[in-house]
Amino acid sequence: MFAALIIVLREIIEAGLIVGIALAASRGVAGAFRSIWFGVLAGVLGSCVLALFTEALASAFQGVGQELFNAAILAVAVVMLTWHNVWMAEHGRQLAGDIKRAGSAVADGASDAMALAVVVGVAVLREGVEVVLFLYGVLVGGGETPLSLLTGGLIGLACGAALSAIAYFGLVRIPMRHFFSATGVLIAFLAAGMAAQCVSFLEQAGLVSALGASVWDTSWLLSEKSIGGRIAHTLVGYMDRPSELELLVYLLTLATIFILGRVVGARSARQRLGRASGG
Amino acid sequence: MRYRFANRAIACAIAALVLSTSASLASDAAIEVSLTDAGFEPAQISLPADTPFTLRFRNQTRMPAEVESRDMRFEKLVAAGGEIVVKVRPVGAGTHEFYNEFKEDTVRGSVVAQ
Repeated sequence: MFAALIIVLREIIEAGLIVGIALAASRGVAGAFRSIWFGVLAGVLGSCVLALFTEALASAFQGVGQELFNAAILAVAVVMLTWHNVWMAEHGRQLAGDIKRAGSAVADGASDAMALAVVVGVAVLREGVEVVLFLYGVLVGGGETPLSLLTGGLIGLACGAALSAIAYFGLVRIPMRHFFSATGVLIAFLAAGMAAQCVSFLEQAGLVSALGASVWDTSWLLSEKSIGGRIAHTLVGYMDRPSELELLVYLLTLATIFILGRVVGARSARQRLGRASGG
Repeated sequence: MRYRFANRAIACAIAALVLSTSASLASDAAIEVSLTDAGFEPAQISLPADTPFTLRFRNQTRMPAEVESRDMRFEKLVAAGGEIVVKVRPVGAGTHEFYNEFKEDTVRGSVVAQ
């Protein structure tokens, strides 16, 4: 039972944290909660459907369909996270002010809500497939203890959901003044880690081989596959054995998101200032 | 107009990916590994070190599996009765383990590079 719990938990840690972070990051955005839950639901349903087509996906594109699929949805998530941060750079300050004044704010951010829903959906989809297949295997496998394995798996799922709650309630305690900068930094690291992982799938598929040497190996210290490693991977993009290209893409993504945020933030501040002095 | 250009660029990129994939796959022969109820067969594979190689896993059990290796950096789902191909970048001399993540403690195999 415990083994099943660990397997399932390890798979859904990332998705669990991402749901919590996305819920927090979209605070005060109209319809964001509903969109994000819709994303989770779509991810779960998508996992079940995709699990049916494991074989077809694995043999697609000359046998690298799984890698291409994972790389593609990670790339989509990176774009959506970048979009979110740019949107927040433009609206975050105002949103924070409104929430502080009125206790809650409803900004019209349908595009932002949709972007985060996509991020959550693909995060659940990517890891959900593994959980679905594992649990399905437990059910059809006719092993000695299917019930106990299933219980373990379900507890693992519950732990993942608890992690979402912890991430969300932990984040919303951050004072409003710093709130959107804090979630912005988290999201930037999340995106950078995903971009690096996207590269790692392309490397696994054999499509990218440049700069393939490992920069360091800290798997003895904190394995990326362990629960702690997974949490560190989600929060700061920790990699225990990154290739040079992965590290490069990680840093480039971080830099791009921060620079875009700065540029857009400065522009919107100027506009606000212009409006204030003009009117 | 810009969108059309973007679409065309994406289509070209995908075409290039597919072409380069088929070219690289055709060149090397795969080492066959079966996943049975008893485990991996063969459970140990000897290879020259520092050379890329390809593993083809055939899952002959009734359960889906996830074949994974930390050392060799792959992680891939394989359906019950299905097969997958994993391309492995050159590994140094030594023993490099792989396993079915769904039964990590019991279903293991290794590549011994010399």
